[in-house]
Amino acid sequence: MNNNAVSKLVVAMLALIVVIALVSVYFVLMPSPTQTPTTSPTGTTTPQLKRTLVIAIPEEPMGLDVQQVTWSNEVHDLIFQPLVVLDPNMSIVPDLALSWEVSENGTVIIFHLPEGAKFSNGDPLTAEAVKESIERYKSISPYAEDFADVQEMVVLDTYTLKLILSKPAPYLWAVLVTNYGAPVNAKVAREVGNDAFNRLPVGSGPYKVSEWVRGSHVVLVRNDNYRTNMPFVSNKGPNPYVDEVIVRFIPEDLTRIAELEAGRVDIVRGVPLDEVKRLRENPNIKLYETLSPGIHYIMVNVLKEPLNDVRVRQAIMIALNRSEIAAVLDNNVVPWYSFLSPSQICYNKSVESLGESLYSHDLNKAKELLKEAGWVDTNGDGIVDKNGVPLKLTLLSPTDDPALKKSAPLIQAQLAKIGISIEIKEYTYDYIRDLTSEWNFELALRRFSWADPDILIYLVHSEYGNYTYSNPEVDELLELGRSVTDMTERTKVYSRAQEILLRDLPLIPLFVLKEYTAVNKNVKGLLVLPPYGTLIINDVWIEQR
Amino acid sequence: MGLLTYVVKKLLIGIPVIFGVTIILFYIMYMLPGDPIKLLLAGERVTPAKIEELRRAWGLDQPVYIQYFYWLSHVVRGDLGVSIVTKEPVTLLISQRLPYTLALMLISTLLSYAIGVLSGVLTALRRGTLVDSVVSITGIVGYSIPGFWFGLMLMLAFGRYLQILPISGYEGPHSLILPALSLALPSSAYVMRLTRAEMIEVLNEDYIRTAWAKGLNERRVLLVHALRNAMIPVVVMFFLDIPWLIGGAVVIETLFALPGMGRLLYVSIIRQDYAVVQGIVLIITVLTVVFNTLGDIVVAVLDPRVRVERGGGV
Repeated sequence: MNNNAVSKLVVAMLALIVVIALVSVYFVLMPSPTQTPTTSPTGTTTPQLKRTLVIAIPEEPMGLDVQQVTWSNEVHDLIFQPLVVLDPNMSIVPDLALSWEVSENGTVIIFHLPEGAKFSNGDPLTAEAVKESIERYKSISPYAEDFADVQEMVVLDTYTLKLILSKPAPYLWAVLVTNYGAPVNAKVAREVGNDAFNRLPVGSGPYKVSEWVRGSHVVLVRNDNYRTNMPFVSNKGPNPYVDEVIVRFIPEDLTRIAELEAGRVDIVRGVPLDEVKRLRENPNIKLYETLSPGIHYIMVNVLKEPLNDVRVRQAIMIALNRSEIAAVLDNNVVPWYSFLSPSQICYNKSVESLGESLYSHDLNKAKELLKEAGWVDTNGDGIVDKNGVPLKLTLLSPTDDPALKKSAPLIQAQLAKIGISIEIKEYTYDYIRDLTSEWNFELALRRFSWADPDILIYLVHSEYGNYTYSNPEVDELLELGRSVTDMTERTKVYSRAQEILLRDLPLIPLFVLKEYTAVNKNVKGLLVLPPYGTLIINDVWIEQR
Repeated sequence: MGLLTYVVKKLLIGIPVIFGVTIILFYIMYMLPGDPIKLLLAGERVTPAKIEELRRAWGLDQPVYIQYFYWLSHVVRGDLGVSIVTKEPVTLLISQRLPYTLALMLISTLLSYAIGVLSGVLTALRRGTLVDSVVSITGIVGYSIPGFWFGLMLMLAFGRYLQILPISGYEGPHSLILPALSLALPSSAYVMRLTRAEMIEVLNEDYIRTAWAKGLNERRVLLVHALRNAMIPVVVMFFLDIPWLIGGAVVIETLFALPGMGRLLYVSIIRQDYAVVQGIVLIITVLTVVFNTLGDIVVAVLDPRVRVERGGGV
């Protein structure tokens, strides 16, 4: 055979196919959007600065109108501006609002807005506009209940709004400090319709939507009408150094981190725990750390034998070695013994200390409790038994929560030491939530996240919660917690509730998660605020690399 | 006339297939553990009453067959429904994403068949030589490598370290090079093995010996007599392969953060966004039927015997 002919054939076919491929690429892609996420606008005053901030987040928002979504994220934080925010010490301070007053009995709140406040499209942001926005929230948000106790809103003058509550509602502040409580331009929403507003909303946050490329990114440009009264930032107006913020949706952890390390992305959210150690050693990257506003815990089906015996639950609580779990998780978690995290309102250090003193790791004490409950290893197989039945429990472990998933085998090994045999079953987090709401489980690894302690009512209240636990005293305290406005008093109420929960243990606290934001070193002046790790970019400037 | 009847028959058979697939899929989605409304209201901050209210609003409290017929009655009118998550028309969501996926599929298919067929022919002609061994072993290795891992390696090499191609996202057609390569290489190994086997078989046929004996030149023997016959199963593979590529696109688009339909499918399955999943699967099913038929037509053109036998005519 002639070698030459074969080689020619091969080369010819290869060339042809490459040409076809290239032509077809351009042909197919010609009408597609041509957004390049790295272009920076012209008109730079300080040429050594990078004018575009690129943030990579794992998930695309389901919509951009914060009143229509069921979960909000970094994009909403940039578009919308709450009336008030939590400062780094978890106290409520002004953002859009100049100031506010709460009446003695807690049923009247008066907000004073700054004169001349505007939405990003230039419409005046008046008391009337805030009122309309809250009315819209009450009629369309999936979380409309948040404002259920707001009975009436009275516009006192152009910039003063009075909220009249049916009863004192301190938990309302937890909504007001998030982007859910931020005013939206309801007038525009009315004009363009809710669907269009969900794609292109108007708020009063530091940036406004310029373009949303589905499945890819959102381009936000500076809102020149932005004004804030946040006391902890020095720049209270539009950020002159960052013209544009691009929020990219990158679902894969490794891809997100690779983009950061290559310098194509400035800020990465949803830092995978496995990568924290390596990123910490990278001199070009700075890690910001916040504590999650909630705990990771073992949910217990208190109706099921033998978990209906509080001594068995206490034995499990004591047998757990939380510092071992923390060590395996590279100390990205803080061992925890109570039900509120330091990033939550009404957190009380003394309750945490009480929990720790009652239940610090002690195998002998745990065995003692099991023995009291009648569980002893009579046949010497390493598993305690009672009336011939060995103590075997299943633990549901979520595959999509790395910290919980990794703890499951440790919990299994630790409980084996007191003779409890654990079988681990892995599902997705959402499916486990479904199973537990149908009470179809024994032990389940769960978490929650919300800055206000009122979240506990959805967990352990016999009526509002989906849990098997029921205690009238706890019900009463959690209901009381919804109406006590005085912070010290309210903290006392939740501390009391936690003390009862510590005795009953319908859920067994494990740890509080540290949440990380990975940022390139050339990004200066960034603030990452607890409890949700909100990015405050008022004072940010980006040095050119 | 024979060919036309044959094509019409093929297409008619496709219709019950499409129906069947949508019915089965509807039931699978329905049987899946979990509830789209509960997934939507992910936080703890919501009451059971609100969940019930939304379930009614979306018709999820209806029996599954009613939901299916409701969906079907809209589909025949060209309306694929509304996404439960974004509240936007499914047709809009898909049309925004489809071009990226089609481009990715097209490039990766062309690449994989170019590489696969060429190396297959080459190894068949050089059977038993060093070239054959090296290419074949590379093929087996390539076939065994998961596309996801291979894509990650390409991303780190060309994006992260060499920095000559984007790591992820869509910035222009060059953004598709790495994803297309990660989809193409594993499947090209398969194409190579098929081509090689077919080519070797054909080269041993009597008519090829006759062709050589007639004194035909090499180009004519290889291209007209051998390749044409060896290519028939490869062509069939080509058409059957295309819908499967969407499966690969789910993984690769997610890895490379491309705004394609595969990633939309993945996200929609996770969130149990019924309407979107149904819409995408409907498109995949239609594509499958169309490409199968196309494959049959091409084979019929290449090999008239098929037409006579399967067409049942003459």
